[in-house]
Amino acid sequence: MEIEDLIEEFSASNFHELELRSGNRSVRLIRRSTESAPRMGALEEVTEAESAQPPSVEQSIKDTTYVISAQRVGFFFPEVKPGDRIFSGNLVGQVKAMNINHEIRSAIDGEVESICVESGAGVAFGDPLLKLVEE
Amino acid sequence: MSTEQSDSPKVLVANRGEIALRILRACKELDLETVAVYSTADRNSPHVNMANEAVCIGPADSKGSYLNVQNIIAAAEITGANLIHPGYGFLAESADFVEVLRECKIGFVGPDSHVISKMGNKSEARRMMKASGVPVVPGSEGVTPSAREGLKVAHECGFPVMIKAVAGGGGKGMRMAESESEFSSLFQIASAEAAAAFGNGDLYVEKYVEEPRHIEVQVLADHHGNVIHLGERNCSIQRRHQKLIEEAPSPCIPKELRDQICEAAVQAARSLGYKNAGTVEFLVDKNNQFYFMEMNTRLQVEHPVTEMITGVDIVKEQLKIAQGGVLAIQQEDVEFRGHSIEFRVNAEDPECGFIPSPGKIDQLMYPGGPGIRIDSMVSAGDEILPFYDSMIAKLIIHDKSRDEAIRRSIRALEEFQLVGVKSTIPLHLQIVQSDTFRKGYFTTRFLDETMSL
Repeated sequence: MEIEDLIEEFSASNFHELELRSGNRSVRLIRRSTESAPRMGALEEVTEAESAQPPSVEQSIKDTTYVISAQRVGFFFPEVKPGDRIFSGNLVGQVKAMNINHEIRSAIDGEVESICVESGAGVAFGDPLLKLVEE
Repeated sequence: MSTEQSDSPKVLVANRGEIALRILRACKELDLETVAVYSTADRNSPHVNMANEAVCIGPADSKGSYLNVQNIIAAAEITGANLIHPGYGFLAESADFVEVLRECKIGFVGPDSHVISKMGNKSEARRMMKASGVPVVPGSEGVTPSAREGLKVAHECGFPVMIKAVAGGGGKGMRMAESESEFSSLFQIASAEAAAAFGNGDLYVEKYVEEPRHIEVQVLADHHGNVIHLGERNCSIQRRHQKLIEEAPSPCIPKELRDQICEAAVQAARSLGYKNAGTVEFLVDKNNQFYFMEMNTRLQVEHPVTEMITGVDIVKEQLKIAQGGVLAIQQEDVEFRGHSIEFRVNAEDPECGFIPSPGKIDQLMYPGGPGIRIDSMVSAGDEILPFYDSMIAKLIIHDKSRDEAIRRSIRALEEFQLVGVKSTIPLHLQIVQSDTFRKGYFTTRFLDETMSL
């Protein structure tokens, strides 16, 4: 099954969380718990930028910037570069740990604004990996 | 495996709180590079700053962080750490974790996984200890199929006996039989109760340990077959099987008994091919018979009392052993000096069944002066988080004699200022001032029997 189909099926399901492993690849889908979240079935690695800060005009302009942060510790390998157009479900990078590659896929359509860490660098839980501008 | 692998050891401390600090301190004194791991709730904890490097491994909930094997091993991989100290709790006694570390070629400060797994299984541990000549509580091997069989066992080990549910816990399906006449009916009652509570009515019968005292022995074993003990600790002051006060040496153990128990612990460790620091726990009954209870295959919370009376830094020894070092201390080098008592200061309300009392610490002033050691990572203004255990500090007292140590304890507990959360300090004061504690003969039922809670 393609990842896009998987997300669609997941969004339509009653599941809150889904993890699939095949060989040395794995993908995990988590439904956002907040009611106000704009999208169901977002990939685990996608979090909104600085959502804890009080909203301001500047930030509401920047509302379309998404930061994908690491949900796993490991070595990060981006699969995209700044300026790349991506679609929801596209592979944007991998985090490698204990010889397993964990895919990171975008949950939005947009453009890669920047890559936050060098390819092959170690990342901790919560570290920003890349920034996307939503379209 | 890692980007910056080298021969010089780099230690990842897979824990939080006071024990993470304790381990980091030992590493610093040994000039070892260190890596701390932390959850998002512990971002500003002292252990994060004390280490050379720190890696966030997950959310506040320990399942996603301090118990997250993948992220902890990945943290070792990205920092090039080649040795992991687990502290106590969390993954310290997970045979699976130790096995994965072995596969990943990362060293572990502790014994081999198969030893952890054997000692983690009650009946297996009992069987192994019995086979190596260490006394265990007399009783049936495995399930007692009928009251008639049970009675045979009871006669062999002598009344009173305990009838216990194999699947048991919390006192359900448990009865004490004092004589033959009541045995059969109590056996039936216990079986029915166990079946109702656990869906399994299987029982076993063992000798009732009268006036049980919890005596445990600290052992150290290197990878070259050397095993020594560092004497015993008395940990009979407990609530719900959790220790509150520990002391060394034990006030209620004559010298010959001490020697026998310590020798049995060394024998136990030797027969297991044990490596690193471990604790063999025994129950001692009113006739000074001792029985193996369990072995803790890790560093214990109460290890400081042993350090205070022996002068041995147990954590440093653990780190040296894990790097393949030969034990520099031999049994005859171990000297015992004075008396030490440890008080666990927990954010709990002893008057309400020891329920946790998390919250903000408004004021905190630790006692000081001679013979006082505080192992803690809490300071004024800190929040005691509901996610983790409720221990605020360990207050460890040392003095020349037990009497003097008790006086020093009272002085220190009175000096200890803690405002904002309920704590065990008032209870500790009540205990050390009680006649029973001062006399030194008390059982594991001390708290229930003596203190008015």
